[in-house]
Amino acid sequence: MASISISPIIYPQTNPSLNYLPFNKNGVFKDSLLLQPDNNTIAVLNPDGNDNGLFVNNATNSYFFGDYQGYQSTNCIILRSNGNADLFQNNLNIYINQLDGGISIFNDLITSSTAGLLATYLKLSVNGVKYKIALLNDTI
Amino acid sequence: MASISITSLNTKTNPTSLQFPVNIGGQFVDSVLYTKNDQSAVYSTFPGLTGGTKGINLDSTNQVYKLGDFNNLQNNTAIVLDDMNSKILLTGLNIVTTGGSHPPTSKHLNITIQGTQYCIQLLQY
Repeated sequence: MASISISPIIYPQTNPSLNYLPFNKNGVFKDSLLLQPDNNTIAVLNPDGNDNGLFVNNATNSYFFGDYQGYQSTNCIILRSNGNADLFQNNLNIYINQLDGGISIFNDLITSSTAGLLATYLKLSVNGVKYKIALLNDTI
Repeated sequence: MASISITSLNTKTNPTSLQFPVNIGGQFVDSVLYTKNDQSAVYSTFPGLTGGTKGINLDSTNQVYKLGDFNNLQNNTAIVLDDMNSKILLTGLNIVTTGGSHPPTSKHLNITIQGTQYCIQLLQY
């Protein structure tokens, strides 16, 4: 692991891009994938420059984790805490410890029955055992 | 809090110990991320907040990973992954509702899936 060496011969520099958090690569500050565009926001940027993976905004009370931009799987958790909170807004794709048979909720396994008051179920797997939860219409 | 200063070159790191730096205007200043005890935990803090941290909290020592308003500083909407105890905690002041079109004594978990709102009836534990 190289350490940061600040030499009087080689003028020390920050990482090249503004608002990026730096990291040490072979003794030189490089841009990490973390961006702080303002004092209320922290985000992870992909190599293409678009944020995805993690987004935290204290001003809007928005917290995104996962593929919330929908570049691939759209597996994500979105928390909005603006007084009208919605857990799992947008896509309901949560994969937690999936390989070990933990809890997983699959967006593509939300199903509808053909008739009856309980029209929709949320399918999930808990420790490898599949269950479904009846979803009621929210008319409150 | 001690700062690390390289005075001979008039070049400084960010001013606050344990705070991650960010490049603002070509200078390292404190970011909103900091580590509490070197390498085992990462927190975010924001200007004007009092009473604790908010945003993200990654604690590998205790194996607890938090996202959102986990200290209930404002609206208390958060998800907490407690890996040591194998628990997932969801919080939110308005995710449980009673009454409406449902029996007034029952409680429901509000959930939004792809823009459509649903309720899940909660049974006594």
